[in-house]
Amino acid sequence: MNIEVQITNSVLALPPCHIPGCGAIARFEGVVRGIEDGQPIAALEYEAYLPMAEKVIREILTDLNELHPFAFSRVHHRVGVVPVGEAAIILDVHASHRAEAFAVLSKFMDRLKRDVPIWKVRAIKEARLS
Amino acid sequence: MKVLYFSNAASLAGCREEHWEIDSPISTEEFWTEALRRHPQLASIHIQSRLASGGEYVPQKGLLDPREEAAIIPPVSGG
Repeated sequence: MNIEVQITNSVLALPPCHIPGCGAIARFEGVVRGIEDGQPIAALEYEAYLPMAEKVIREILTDLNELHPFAFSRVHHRVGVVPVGEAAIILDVHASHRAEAFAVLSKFMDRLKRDVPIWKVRAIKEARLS
Repeated sequence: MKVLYFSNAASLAGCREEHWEIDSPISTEEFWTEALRRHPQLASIHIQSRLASGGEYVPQKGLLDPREEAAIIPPVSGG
């Protein structure tokens, strides 16, 4: 099982990838919505505690691999200012079959929102982002 | 001991990093006593926050090693 983790200020993009023996690739993108707490926004700003955030992501995926074996997973999370419509996180899971891929995808996101030290630190309302 | 503050812990403390003069391991309770003495505003997030030492979460009854970086981890909100 291989894991790739990136926490970056750059726009996220996962290049296509095929792992021999994998018949399922499940992918999730978490995108910044235009509404936060009922108010229109232009962007969200994220911060992370590095390298702890990367370490916790790897630990979660390693745990999940024991229950739902998979071959490869990529987790890319953006920090800094993320404009509305752009991805704050992109995750994919490559597994033999869809059941494992979907299970890891869903459970990982639940664990990320509980344990990975990454925060939305502010919503930016201005149309012009700084 | 190097102490890091993130997210609303940093806003409430008014800083992102401090150095505490501590030379032996301290309990989580002793850590919070010192943190709240320095920054009483942290009381508003004390209950919901976790502590990390050396990049790992510290159990409620655990110890923080002064040689390791410590951090206050408010409720996370990634993704």
